[in-house]
Amino acid sequence: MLAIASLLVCGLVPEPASAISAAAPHRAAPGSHPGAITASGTPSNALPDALFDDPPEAAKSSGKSAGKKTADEADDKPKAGEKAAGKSESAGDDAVAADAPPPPVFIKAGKLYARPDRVLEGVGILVERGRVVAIGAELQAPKDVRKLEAAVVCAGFIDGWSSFALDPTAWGDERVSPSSSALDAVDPYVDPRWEREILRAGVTSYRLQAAAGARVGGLCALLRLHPTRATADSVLLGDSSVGLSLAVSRSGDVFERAAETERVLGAIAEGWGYLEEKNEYKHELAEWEKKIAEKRKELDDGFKKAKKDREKAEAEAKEKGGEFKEKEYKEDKKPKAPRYDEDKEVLARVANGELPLVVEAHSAVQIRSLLASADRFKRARLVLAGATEAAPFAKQLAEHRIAVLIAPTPLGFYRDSTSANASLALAAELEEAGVEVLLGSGGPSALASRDLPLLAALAIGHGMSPQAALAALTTRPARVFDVSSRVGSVELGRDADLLLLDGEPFAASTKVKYVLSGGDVVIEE
Amino acid sequence: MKHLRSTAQRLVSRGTRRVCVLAAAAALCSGAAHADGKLAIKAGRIVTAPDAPVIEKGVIVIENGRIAAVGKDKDVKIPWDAPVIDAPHATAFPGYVEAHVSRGMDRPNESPEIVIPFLTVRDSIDPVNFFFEDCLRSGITTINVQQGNDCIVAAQGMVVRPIGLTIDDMAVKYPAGVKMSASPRRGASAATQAQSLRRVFSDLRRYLEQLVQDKKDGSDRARREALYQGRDLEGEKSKGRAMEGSAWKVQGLELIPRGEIDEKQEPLLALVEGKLPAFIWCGRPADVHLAIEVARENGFLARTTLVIDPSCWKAADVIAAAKVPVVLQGNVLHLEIDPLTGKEVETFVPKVLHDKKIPFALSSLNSTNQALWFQAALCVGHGLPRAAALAAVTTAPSKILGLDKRVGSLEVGKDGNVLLLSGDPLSVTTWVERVVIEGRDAYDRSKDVRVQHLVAGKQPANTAAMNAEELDPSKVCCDGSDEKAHAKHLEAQKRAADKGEGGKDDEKKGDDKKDEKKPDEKKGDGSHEGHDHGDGAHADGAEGARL
Repeated sequence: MLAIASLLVCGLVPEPASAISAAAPHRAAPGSHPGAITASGTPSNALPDALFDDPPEAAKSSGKSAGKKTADEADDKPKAGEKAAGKSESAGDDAVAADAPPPPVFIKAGKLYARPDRVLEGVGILVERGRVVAIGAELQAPKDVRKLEAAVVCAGFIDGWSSFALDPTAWGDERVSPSSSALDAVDPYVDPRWEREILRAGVTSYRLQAAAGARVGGLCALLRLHPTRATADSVLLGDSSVGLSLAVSRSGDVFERAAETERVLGAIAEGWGYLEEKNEYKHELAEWEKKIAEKRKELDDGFKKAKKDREKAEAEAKEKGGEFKEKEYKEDKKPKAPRYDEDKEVLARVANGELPLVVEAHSAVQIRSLLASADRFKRARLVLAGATEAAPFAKQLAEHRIAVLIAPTPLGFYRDSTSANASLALAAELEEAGVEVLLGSGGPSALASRDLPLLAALAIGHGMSPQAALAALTTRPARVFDVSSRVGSVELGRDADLLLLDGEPFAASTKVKYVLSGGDVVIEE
Repeated sequence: MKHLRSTAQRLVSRGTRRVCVLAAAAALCSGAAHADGKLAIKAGRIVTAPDAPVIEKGVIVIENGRIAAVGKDKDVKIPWDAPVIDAPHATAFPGYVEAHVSRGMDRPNESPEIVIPFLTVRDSIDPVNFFFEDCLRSGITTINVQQGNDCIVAAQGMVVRPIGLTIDDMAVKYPAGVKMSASPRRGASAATQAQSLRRVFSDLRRYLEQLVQDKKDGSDRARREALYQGRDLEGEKSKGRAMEGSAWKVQGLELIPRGEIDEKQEPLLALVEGKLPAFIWCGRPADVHLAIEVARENGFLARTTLVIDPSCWKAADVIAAAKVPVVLQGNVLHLEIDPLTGKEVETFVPKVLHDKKIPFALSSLNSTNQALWFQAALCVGHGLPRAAALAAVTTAPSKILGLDKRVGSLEVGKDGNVLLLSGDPLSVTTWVERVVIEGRDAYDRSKDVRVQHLVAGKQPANTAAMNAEELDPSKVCCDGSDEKAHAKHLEAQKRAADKGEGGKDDEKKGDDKKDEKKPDEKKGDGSHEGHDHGDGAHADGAEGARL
């Protein structure tokens, strides 16, 4: 291993640990490189394995075990062939076993967008075991490591609103409830050619909602695109958000629309009520247990006397020929736990702000009534999706810190019924007012995500700054959906989901040269 | 040819079913009963198992329903008191085993919305269902009747033999496992089906935990009450037994007498404890992942059989890794059209399963026309080794059903389920001549009223007219009892023919031909197979023309 002299310290500032996101910044240290400066600012000789603690999301999410699997865990449970079997069409270069850690890669970047607002010129990036382990201006490539070069490097795009690999039966399933998991609606046998097509466009992960076309979308997941890895190993976060939709009755009358809004607010209220009920029970139970413990002690102490009394009473009863009667015992009833409800469990997390709530709403009426009630649920983290007629409410949205997820689609592109008043300048208008704008493809087609960079370019063409557009596809969705410690930026310890471009992102003349997904070079042009 | 036969058979049977049912039941089921006695079968050839060498001129001795001896006739001594079936031209073969079928019941599916493992197909099976009669004709002697695929968790299945007039007569193994579906039921999607299926077991777990908690709370209170009243504490006696199960356990379940557990939950608990097998339907390859996950998370993977659609070959690696057997329900070929190139991709599924060393059974697709032997023959035609194809309808399904010590091959100690075939088991010109089930003479083709009527044109005794020709009022004026009227009718017919109506002439010729062959038919029973078939096909064709 080569000794590396002075490293440019970069990307070391962890995400501000907000009250909302329980995700602590991932521990990162370029351990195997003596002299390298670590995230904590001290040189480290730690073994590389020390780098790969479970990411905090794993501990946080209470979803299925599959949802918690990281790329590293895959080492223990070989899943090779699972996805490969489904993707029989995949070419021979995919033959790399999914359970083997990806080989290290060294990237020489002319310009690195560590974050959209943090640009580094002329740096080397070392990727080991699927993570970015070192970044530095004078970082040299270790021996026997694959070297790639690109004019521009940035984080892989995150499509905040996609339906790739969604089982077609799930799209409009009105039975989906808040606890239905998007992971159950993933078709692991989706055509790998489509996945490559999307990766080729630079999208490396996406948020999936089970019933995107129904009133309740269920528990959404953040998944990584990787043509050969099993779905279970591609889950970044099994429960990233809950989706609800107001778009369904857009054409209905005003009362219907009001009822729709009430339904969403009611769902949060239900969750909050459940949370309160549970807390109350917890409190009552603790009190009862304390009381009973005291009573028990009292009873234990008084048992000898009680026994004597009883014997006496029995003897008396016998003497008098009467019947012996036991003393009646009384105590407080144990409080009853609230009835378990899996949907309310999820809604409680939403109401408490542990999970963001993505509400798809388009009409001004609905957005207004949502905003009017937003103060009722201060902890809930609302994300407004679609938001076709949101422009007049830009200021309020910014005030309430409600992120807006936009699919800047031209008329008739995907969502005919909802895009009548669509404006491609919406993203720029909201951005101007200080709203956190996210971009997503939003289409029901599996291939919609492929067009994400084009949609971003459209938004740029209509006034959005390229920097904001890049943030809308990387750091912002990562922050909003609680995966910023893993993806969305190119920093130490982050997963190596990287785009290697020959020009600025979103420029018409730019070509994607390489795409790394979880450290694997999955696209080479 | 055999395929044709059964189609024609259906055509006829539709009209005559009611008339025939009693007669047929009598012919099929009243064969000499040897259940507690002995029976010897002398066959020209005996194929004891899919991969066993053929025994020429062999003898099978069945005592008390089990095979007591099998071997060459010079090596096996036939007991002096055993009735003998002598079939020098026939091939003896083990009865076919149907690993999963949803027929013979009142209805295959209950409401798909409710979880009903406490129900059983026992209450739904109809012993005189036509399906069981047809099973005998195609040599199926062991049948696992399971509920249909439209469910979350359906009723418990049952293994039966296709003879007997009560369900107890038919029962071979009960319960035979719980049916589930990993595929979206009616009105559900992949997401909600998975949610419902998972919920079944999370609900069970919560229920049991609550039960234990309530019990503990109750006894804690009783203890305090005793202290208060000055009584001595009585030790708690547990009447239940601790929970078993490899995936998860509820601590303290020994406090609960098993009788106190809700009977609706009890079969699910038995599943988790590994005491019941499961049959899980997977209609799409993605469902295989769900089925295996649910089975593994709840500890019954080792007792799980996947009932798969042909498209599930894509999940073959996952199936092989989970080491679960499968029942292929559907065509042996899977056809897919590439959305980009429009190219058709054909996959021969049993070969994939065979190559991945996945134990698999074929099924008759819930249809008599696709009988097990026919499925196996198709497989051989597509390149599956003969032994593997035969195993998929005999030994493999018997293993799946946990009956490998009883059925699937002709070995000493196993059930005396023997087919006497007129030729090779996989040949289309072969007939099932006789079926012996556990030593009972269950079926004899020469006494099969329906087949005899269809193929040989024999009118069953004491029955009304059985085909369209005879039902035609212009042709049938009387039942033959009134000779005068009959003669008159014949004369009228002749006159009409003389006038030269071409169509009617042709018909008459056909009829004549048929009549000519009748004597032939009587002579050769079993030895003139080709001829037989010709006749059957002819009858079918002629009837088709008339209809």
